[in-house]
Amino acid sequence: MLDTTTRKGRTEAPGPKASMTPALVTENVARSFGALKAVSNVSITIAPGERRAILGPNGAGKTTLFNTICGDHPPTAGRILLFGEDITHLQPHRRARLGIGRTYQSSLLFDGLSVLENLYLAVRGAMPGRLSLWKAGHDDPALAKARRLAEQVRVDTIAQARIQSLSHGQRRQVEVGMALASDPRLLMLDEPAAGLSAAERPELVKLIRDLPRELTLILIEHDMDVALPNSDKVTVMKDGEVVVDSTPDRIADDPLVQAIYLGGEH
Amino acid sequence: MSLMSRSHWILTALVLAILVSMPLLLPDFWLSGILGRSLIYGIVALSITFLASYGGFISLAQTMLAGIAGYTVAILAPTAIPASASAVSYWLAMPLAVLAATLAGAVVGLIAIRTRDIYLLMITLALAVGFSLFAQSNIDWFNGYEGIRNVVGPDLFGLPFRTHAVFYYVSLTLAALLYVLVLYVVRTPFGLVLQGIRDNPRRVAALGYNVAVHRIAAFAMAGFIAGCGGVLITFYNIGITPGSIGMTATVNVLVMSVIGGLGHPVGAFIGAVIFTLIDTFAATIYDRDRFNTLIGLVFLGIVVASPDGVLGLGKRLTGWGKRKDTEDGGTPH
Amino acid sequence: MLRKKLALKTATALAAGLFALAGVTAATAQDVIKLGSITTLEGPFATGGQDAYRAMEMALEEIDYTIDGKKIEWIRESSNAQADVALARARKLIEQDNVDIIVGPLSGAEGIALRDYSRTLEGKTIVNGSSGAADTTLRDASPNFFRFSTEGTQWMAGLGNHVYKDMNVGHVALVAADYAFPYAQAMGFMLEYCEAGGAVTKLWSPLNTTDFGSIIANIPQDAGAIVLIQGGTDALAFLTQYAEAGGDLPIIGGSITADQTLLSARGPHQRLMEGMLAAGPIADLNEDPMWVEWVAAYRERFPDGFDSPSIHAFNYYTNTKAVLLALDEVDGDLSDGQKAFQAALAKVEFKNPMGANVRLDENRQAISDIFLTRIVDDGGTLRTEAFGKTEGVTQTMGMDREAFLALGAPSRDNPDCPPAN
Repeated sequence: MLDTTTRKGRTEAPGPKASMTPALVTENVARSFGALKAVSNVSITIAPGERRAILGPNGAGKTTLFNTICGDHPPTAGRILLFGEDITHLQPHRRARLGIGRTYQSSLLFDGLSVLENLYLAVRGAMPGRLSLWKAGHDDPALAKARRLAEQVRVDTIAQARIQSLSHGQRRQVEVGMALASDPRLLMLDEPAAGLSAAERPELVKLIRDLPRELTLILIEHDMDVALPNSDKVTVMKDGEVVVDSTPDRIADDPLVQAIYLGGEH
Repeated sequence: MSLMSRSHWILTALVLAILVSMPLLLPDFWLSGILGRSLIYGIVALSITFLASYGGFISLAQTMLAGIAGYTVAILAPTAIPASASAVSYWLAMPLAVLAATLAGAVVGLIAIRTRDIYLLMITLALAVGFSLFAQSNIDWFNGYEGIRNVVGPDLFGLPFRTHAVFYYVSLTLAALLYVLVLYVVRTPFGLVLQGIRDNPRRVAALGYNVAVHRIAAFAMAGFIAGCGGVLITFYNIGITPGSIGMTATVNVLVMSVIGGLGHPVGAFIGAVIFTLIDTFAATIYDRDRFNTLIGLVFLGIVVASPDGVLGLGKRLTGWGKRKDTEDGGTPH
Repeated sequence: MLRKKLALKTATALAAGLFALAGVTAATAQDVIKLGSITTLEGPFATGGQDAYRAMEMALEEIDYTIDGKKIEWIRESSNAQADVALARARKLIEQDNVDIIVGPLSGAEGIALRDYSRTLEGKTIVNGSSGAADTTLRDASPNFFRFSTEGTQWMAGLGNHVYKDMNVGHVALVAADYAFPYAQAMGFMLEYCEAGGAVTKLWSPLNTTDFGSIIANIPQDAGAIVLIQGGTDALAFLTQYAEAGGDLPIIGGSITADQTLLSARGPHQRLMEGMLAAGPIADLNEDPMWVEWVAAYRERFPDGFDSPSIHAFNYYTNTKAVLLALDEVDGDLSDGQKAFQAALAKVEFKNPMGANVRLDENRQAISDIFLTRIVDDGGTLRTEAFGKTEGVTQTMGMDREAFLALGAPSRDNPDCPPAN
């Protein structure tokens, strides 16, 4: 299952230890809400630098799996290892500091602030001395980094615009930028292309493709055109369980995937 | 991320220049009774607008915080009647009063830490009413219903504080400084986080910020602003009584903020001027027995015509907001 | 920036309009005397404030708004019984409307606020309306503040002696609201009563108390009467609960106890009301011809007014009357910083509508007569009736000023004469 050897040549590993161990391991992870089992018995292993797409119909438990990993809804059973470290019981912000970054399905940006201010807040949130009454000077490293992020996610031309004046696609780009602000080793994108127009999609695909290769990436996506070109491996979920683990070129022929996608799920 | 655009700075400087030259143009009553009074109550309204505009908190405790500063300076005042055993110089009493209001503001923030919207409104209202009743029933410190009188303020440049020009210039200077302070702070990381809390508190927490600490700091700063206003109001009223911090006073300051517009700090002062003009002259314009009806109707009219106050009205009339909104200015809630 | 500009424009236009308006009223002619007034036409005392203006109107109509050919222009303002508001109105009257004299305000804290303001003025005079806080004139008096009405401590004159000597009650329970005005009234009563040899058990309750159960339970067994110094609604609550508990001690009221709330309400308290004693500057029923005539004039002029003029009407009338008499004395001359006028005002001596002589002491506080009253059933309506009076009551209750001030300000604990056991 592991495909670390093929990556090794190209990857600049985040640390010597990380290159040896998987970026993320979930061992029999489950999450219930009362009687509802949203996720059960999910075991996946993702190598450092790997790009993994997670497919599945609505209600398959994809976002819940994200939530168990980032800690918003910690698992009710099982273990989660991030670069070998057990994070099963850590608070979300502790996990963020260990290198998990994520975006959300629905936009959770600060509407009243500018693009640059959103990115700046995300950068400062990952730094010490978060409560400051001194305005950022032009040489503020956090501000400089926010500007670099704006360039990276291609919103530098609209850096001064307020979020509420942005298009949906632009908001998605800012979301990715904010998730990158804490220099994550593992980036989880939750349906980044959802609701985007056909014209906006290529921009986002390009953005994802241009992310640093050493970054481990998990991508929830309905749109095969976005998901497949951007992934090394594909995991398909249904009813809270993993049903297929495969590679992008073989996934389209999988009968189960065809059943899910041709059966009216979109 | 500059404080204001260049045109903003020019306009602000222009308005300030006009205000500075007012003593040459206006009779004394207009100087202190209208403009000065608007400025000092506007400062308290500013603390409401600051919390509402940038934090999304509507606090009814700001008049109470002004009152805490007012009572502190009154209790410590060397001229107070009844005289206090703890009287000190005004120059010491004033900073202590503002400090007391700042700390009290932090306590209000702490008490209201998990509440938003209507619950925050209720809890701050309860604090305000509770403190006013306490002041009314406490004789030892607050001298009950009659309050503490003859708090005249210090002499400045050899002139009594109540001298119209002295009072006016001090109020104007302080109001301008606090106004710029608010504009500055909201561009600092603290201010940005505050606006983040307004837009999306959970995301702020997820980014690694301590939402509770930022909220408390915001209320403390609002307490500082209200406290500065409270000291000046106490000098203006030559003392303080429970009526100075009661329901009517609380609602009046809220009305100033709302009719001015909660979208931008300048709304607090615009609202205060409108309120003061109407409050002073309604009885002259209209039937003395029923002028409150006129006041109520005017305020109702403004709020119905423009839920975001005079600021919002101006914005809509000029269509200016649309073009400018992407860069700065306030956010309606 | 446009919105700021727009707001500024609006404000400027508004200001300009009001300027024009102000300009009209500010056109002061030499032969016009500007009389400002402040009462409470808003809030809980609004009915009292309206009545006060009725009486002022009567006083001004009596002289046809004219003093020696000079017209009196009357500018009315309204407060809401709060010191800050009264002060703002006074500032507007003096600084904007340019009035010469203010009559007002109505309530205690307002009075003290205007006293302080008057001290900062030159060539202006403030004459009390109906405010009755002792300190307004007793301590830190202002040379520009005059009060021709009596105050809370004075109003209790004669009552202490009457209870001890005529009623032979040696121990009373004092049931009073816990704030400054009842303290002053309690002092007025106790100075006489304790001096005569009586003992007082004090039972304080916060303002706006509704449940007097614990107070009633604490009334001592050997108390011979209850001195009830509470405002109307609180007094009604106490009397109702006391009557329902089977209480039957005689009730001695403070000056604000037997107000219209209490007199017109129906219920078990009425059993205790008839014969209730009190003291104060007025009574509904008084045989003095001046009072009879004044009440008749009031009823004729204001058919919509009260059945009998209120204490606020009486006080505003008395104070306005003093102003008009002094103006007449100086032929309406207010020049030279009102020196002649203020001197005349300080020396005015006249009879108020109750037929009581009024003059001022050196602090410009009235010395006048105080009446003992009791509540009688006057053809189905409860009214207060005067049955005795103490003449020439001073603010120091007949004591030497130094000795009186040495007693200290009235409070919960001052004065004190608890029962021996």
